[in-house]
Amino acid sequence: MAQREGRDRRIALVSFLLFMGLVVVAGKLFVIQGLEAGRYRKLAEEQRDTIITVTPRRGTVLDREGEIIAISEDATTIYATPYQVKDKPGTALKIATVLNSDEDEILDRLEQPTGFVYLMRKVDKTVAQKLKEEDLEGIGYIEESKRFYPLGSLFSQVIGVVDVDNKGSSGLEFHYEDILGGKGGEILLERDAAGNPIPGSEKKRLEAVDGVDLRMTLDKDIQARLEESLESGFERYGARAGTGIVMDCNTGAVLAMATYPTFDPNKREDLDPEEMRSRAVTDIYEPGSVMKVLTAAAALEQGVVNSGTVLNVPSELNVADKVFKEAEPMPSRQLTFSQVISQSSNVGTIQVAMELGPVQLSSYQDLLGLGRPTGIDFPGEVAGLVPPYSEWSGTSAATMSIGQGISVTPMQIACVVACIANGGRKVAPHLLQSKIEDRGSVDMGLGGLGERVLSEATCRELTGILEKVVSPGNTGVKAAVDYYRVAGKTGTAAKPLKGGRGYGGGYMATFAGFAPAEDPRLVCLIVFDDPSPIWGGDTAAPVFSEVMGFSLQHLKIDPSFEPTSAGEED
Amino acid sequence: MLNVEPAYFVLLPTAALLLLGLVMVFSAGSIIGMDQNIGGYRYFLQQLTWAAIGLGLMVFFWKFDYHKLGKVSWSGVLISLVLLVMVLFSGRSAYGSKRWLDFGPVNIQPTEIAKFTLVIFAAYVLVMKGDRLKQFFHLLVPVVALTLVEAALILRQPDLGSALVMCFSIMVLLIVAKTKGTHLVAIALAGMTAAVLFAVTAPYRLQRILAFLNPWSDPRGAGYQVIQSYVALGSGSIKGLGLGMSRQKFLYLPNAHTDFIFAIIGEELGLIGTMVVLFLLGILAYGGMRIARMAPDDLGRLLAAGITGLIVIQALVNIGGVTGLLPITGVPLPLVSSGGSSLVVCMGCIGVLLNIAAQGNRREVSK
Repeated sequence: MAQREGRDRRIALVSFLLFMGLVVVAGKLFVIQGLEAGRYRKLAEEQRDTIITVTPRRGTVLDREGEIIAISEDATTIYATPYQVKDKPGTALKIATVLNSDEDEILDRLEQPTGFVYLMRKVDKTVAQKLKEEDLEGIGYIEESKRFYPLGSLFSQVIGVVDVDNKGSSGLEFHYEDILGGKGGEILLERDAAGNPIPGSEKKRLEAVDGVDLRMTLDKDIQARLEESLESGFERYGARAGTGIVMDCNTGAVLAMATYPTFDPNKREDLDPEEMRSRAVTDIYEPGSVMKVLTAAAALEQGVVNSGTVLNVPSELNVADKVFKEAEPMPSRQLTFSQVISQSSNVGTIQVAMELGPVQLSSYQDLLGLGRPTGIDFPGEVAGLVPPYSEWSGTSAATMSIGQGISVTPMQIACVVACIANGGRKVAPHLLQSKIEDRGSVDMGLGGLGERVLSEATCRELTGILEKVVSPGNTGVKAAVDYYRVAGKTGTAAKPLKGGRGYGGGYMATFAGFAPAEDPRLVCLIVFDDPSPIWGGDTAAPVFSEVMGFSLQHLKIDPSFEPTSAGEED
Repeated sequence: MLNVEPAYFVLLPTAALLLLGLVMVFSAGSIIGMDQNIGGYRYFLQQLTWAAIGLGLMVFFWKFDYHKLGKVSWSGVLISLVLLVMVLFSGRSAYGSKRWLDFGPVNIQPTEIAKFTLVIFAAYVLVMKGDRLKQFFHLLVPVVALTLVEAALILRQPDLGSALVMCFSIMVLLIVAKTKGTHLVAIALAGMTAAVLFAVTAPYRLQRILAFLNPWSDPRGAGYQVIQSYVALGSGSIKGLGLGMSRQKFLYLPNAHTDFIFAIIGEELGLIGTMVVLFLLGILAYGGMRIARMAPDDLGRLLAAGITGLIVIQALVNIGGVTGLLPITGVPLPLVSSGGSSLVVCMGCIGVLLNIAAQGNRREVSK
């Protein structure tokens, strides 16, 4: 019996040890699940909670006739959770094959010691689908949207581009980011260890608001004509660049705006900032003789001269300490004011300007918007460089009257010309026409005619003078357009040396004009940087003719003359 | 309470743990199954099948006289030795160890069979030796020697947890058998010394142990599993996130349906759930030891104690790993974890226990 009790004691010992084990475990569980529970719950949230941002659909950009300039397409971004990729070289090879990309680079990314790495952003959906079918471990996909520009390089600088996160980074994409971009949504949910959402774990959702579609004042066909003409001019004259604007002179609606060389916004990998500027608004230059239009307008308005006023124009003229001559040597002669402008006489213009006086010249520069941004709805517009009157020297009025010592943007010149064309009222250049919302199209009411700065009589008289510029024997004859009466002015200006005084960096050749002269509708400006020949009348003027001619016909504007014979049609 | 049939103390927790296991395997296994592209129901249906087979085996051993079992146990040891050698050569590798033998559609884990057969054989031999056990030599040969051989084979896989469970279970047998107390102390001391030497001699084992002592020193590497286990248990807190609501089973906890099923229980059912599991194990231990005390003879007594020890110790090694008290060793939680070999063998063990209870003498104890 004693032996039996001894063995019962042994069993009791074993039981005791087992129960002690259970008690110790229970104690530890009280610590983990009771005392320290908060800490682990926090840790759990930290490793699982994720905010997924929902990219809104970016608004479509259309031209005035509904042609798509920019649109968003669905695309797939491919990422990896590197530590979950077991066979890294094999996976890299498969991905590289499908995506047609560099195997080493992908392997490099897969070997990074992180939990998340992009493999390739915004891949075409069909390509991504092929990869999905491979069912690769540790590879994930995010559905995104990708910006596509169906017209390729057409409108490139104007429309601009978006960055990788679909935010506008230049051009209209940047300017109208708030409208086009919409508002991103957020979903707070939990992810599993592989990074995939845990079903039913969604905690909070903030819906994305899609971007609004925009209709621009731009016209695809006129833009295409402008870009093609600039390109052929660029090549024909060996220019550094060519810039052009076509604008409705009665509303300020910009129909086309371009710079050549251009780029393809769809090929984001090879963007050159030099090609991305919309030089019509971002770059300034000394316009040269085109500025005589402003001088003439001021002189006519102030009654200093009229078109028939005869001037004795010497071969050279001293103003303060400076001698002014014609572009090509000329003897002393008698010219009407109209001839001074149409033959682009520097001396004659300066004589008129001196009679007008620096105060008046300065106030007309200000009145017509030089030295201030035009306010166009486009990013990066500059004000130009117009010295304030207080800083003028004795020669300032003389030089500025012929477009030297004053820097403007092509858009500012176009606005001055538009003002003369529409009978003397300021225009507000603009690119946006309307927002296209669910409830319909909402006109944004930009543009229209502003305050009167010149009288209609002055404008009519000046238009007559500018028409002469385009007539045979004068500087702008190559700007003439069949069947339409054209008014305009040439300009050829030496480029100032960078960072110093004096000239010598080549020439800027300009032609700015409008048509039809009897009832002006369109303003067009063409400027070439450093063309050969240097003359605006030889380079910018013929390109103007092409673009203006096409635009008038495209907009079905009535010709000024009846076609004289069937044979003359081109 | 003392008048209750002791078999109920075993049957009740067995049934409860088995059902809880099925529910939890369904919960955790569905996510793992979907991740492995074998379907969300696969692990549950497998477990259900194994539970049915296990029930059959349990009923068989319930009706099978355990004395006959003792007599044939040497053949069981022989078979398990062969299997343990085979697994080292042709076993299926998983998580860096070879633990499974492929037999067509079924994979078996020889370790589970070895533990069961060794306990029966050792109990039988220790009883046969009778008073000779007082001699140290008869204590060592063959029981301790055979245990060391099998433990060494198991450590080669490597499966430290199962080796520990086996050694501790044999230790339980030795304590309950007619051995000298001094001999037991000597064996315990020798075992501890061997364990320390074993740990220190291999650098990777030492590193494992250091990581076990401070998982936060390497939370993404060696400490990852324990920390994720803590996160599961801790986020369950007192009441749990609710059945099926575990988040850690979404691939944060590896083997959520097997080795770490206890952590998922803690996450979904909270401290209440884990305490219920410990309580059920306590009842099982109590019932098993009661059967041992009421056993009609020494063989029954030793077998009951050994089998109870085997089940409860394995549960402690599993839960100890999950709670960070012991290194993580990959031992399944008996009756609960997904896995056929463990479940079927464990049910067989319970059957033997019930047979001993059925032959037991209640009167002797209750007086």
